[in-house]
Amino acid sequence: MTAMTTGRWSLAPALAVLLGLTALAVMLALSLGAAWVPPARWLGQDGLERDLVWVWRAPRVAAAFFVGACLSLAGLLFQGVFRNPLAEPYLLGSAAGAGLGAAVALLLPQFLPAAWSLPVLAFLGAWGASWLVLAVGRIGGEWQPARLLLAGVALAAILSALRGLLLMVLGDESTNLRAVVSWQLGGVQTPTASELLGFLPWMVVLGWVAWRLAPGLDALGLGEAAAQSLGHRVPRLVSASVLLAALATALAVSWGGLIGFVGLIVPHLLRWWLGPLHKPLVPACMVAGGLLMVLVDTVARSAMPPSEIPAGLLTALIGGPFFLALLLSRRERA
Amino acid sequence: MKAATTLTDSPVLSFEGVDVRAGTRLLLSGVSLAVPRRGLFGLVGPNGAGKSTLVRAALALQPVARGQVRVDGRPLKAWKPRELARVVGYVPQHIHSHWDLTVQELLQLTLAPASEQLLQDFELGPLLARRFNTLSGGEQARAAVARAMAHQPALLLADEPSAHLDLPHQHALMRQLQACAKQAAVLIVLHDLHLAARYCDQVAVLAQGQLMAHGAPAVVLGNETLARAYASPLQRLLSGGLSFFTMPERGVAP
Amino acid sequence: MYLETAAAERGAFQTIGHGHYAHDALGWAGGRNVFSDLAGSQQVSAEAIAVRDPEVIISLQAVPKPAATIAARPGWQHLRAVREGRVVVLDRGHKLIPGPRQIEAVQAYAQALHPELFA
Repeated sequence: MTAMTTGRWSLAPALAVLLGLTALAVMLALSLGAAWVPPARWLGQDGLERDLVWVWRAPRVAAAFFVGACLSLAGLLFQGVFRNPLAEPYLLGSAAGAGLGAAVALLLPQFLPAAWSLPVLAFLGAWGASWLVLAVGRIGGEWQPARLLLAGVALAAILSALRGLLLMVLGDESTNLRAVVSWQLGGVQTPTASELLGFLPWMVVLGWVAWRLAPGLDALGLGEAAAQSLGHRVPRLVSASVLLAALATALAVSWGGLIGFVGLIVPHLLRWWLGPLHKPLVPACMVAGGLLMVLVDTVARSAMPPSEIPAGLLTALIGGPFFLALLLSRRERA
Repeated sequence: MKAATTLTDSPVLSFEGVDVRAGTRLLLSGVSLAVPRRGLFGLVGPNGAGKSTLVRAALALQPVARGQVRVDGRPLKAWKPRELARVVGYVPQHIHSHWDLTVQELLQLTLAPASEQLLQDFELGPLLARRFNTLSGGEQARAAVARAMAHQPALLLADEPSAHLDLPHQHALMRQLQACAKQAAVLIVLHDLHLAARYCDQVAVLAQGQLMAHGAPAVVLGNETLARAYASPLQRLLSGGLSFFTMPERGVAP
Repeated sequence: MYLETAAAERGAFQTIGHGHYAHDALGWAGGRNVFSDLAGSQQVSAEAIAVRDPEVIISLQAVPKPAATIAARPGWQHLRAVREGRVVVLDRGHKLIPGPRQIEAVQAYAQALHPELFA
């Protein structure tokens, strides 16, 4: 049974294509920005140009890749658990939860040591939000997609507002309206050197755990009873998947703010290309998500110089119509 | 890999005085039955009788309030989910894949790879590249049963798999299950009494959570048992050696 | 020099260009705005600042934080102004309100730009 007859690609050639495209995207990303620096001049004489490429752009491109990989992995996991291709961290309010957690960490440093309090609280926020949506969206043993999304949208609005309120009440005047809004629009932040080193290990860990959960998520697609009959402990599977997705969301939000639709688009497109089995989708989603985010960030940095377009705006501009198209096509099929 | 079960006369699945509760309601009450190691075992009864509950209890999906469920002689609680999965295969009532799987991908969701023999037996060769959700009801049922049988379980549990099939496909499925029953125990929940009478080696009648009768279909599916179970005057008619079931006309004596 | 009127966490920085009263005030204080080609109040990216590499950075903050927080921004340590320690944080006060108190603003800018003249 070859790929030709089913029309679906297998993982190895797909990954090769994705990695190749990523390499091209990275080259583009390093060349574009406030000034055009072609690859030939990356290691050239001009200190300023070298700085632009390696000091300013390279860490940020790495962060963009990391954020994209985390967002699409979170989307894949949420979609697997909720058995719905419309689930993703932004729409489910988990990203907003992470933001609230991060805000609490920023504004209450006296209670917790700052070093790890931000990612931990962001994670708790994402996780708490995910569980809330899970609890509300479930009726009679199955998750109703409409309920899920409505709960997610409501929760996202509430959590974002709470975050803004928190910043305005507890923050000093420097954390003003602009800071609140800019976070909500999303944008990749340049990491410090030590943060940069953490990206690869994080991606490996997240990817490995997701790989282990993949067969369970596949089985879940046949229904909870069928999954259980295949030997999976469904409550444990759901808990583990939500936990992992919340972790990935928190990491993405820590470096990228509220960026939506990446977790929606990437798994959806890859499912169409590679089929719905989760094992090949895990690495493919991470690479494709990273690729997409690198491209989005490049456009954000270079489309309207010297300003920067918030990345969240761009993803909403692309993702929003995509989401609508998805809804329309599903209505026709149903 | 053949499931590791002892090849004795002991039943592969047994219920001993089992009660299953949902809140204060008793879904199953004092149910005791034994499913032999080979053969097609039918479970019939009116709606809400507890048939699906029984199947779920056998899969450890439903906690048992009283009594004991044993699989292969061992209490259900002693089985780890993975171990139980090797011994049992399950075909759910609503065969539906949330994702757009091809039949080939569906057959990867098993505990053992689907063998060539399996594909031949279930005539799935030409269907492999097709999307599962686009198949006809009969084809979906076939694929679902094949998926459950792929790892050669000792017990196949099927919850009304013929429910939405047209007549020829219902019979085709029952014949397929009969073939499976030569190598394993097959417990099937049925609404259609004719199919139960025709294909099953043994039948159990469940009503209001209690076991009314079980044994050979010819004996069990008699008018009195059915009338008690269904609380309606059901009638069995014999024609050409086959049993057919209907309700008499109002006002006409059975 | 680069006048930062606002900075958000996400690396979005606000500055002013020609036609803005603060730009004029800077000119009177003896400074040359690296973003003079822009008009009015504009958002700029960190890279844009890096390309123009200002000699002095003046940051207007409502609650002034130490200049070291600006120097600590990832990548900013390579800017000329940061390397030479010419980062000044000023109290926002009335500096972004057009009116007679702009004279105080000019004074403050001048002190920041030419500290040796006021020593």
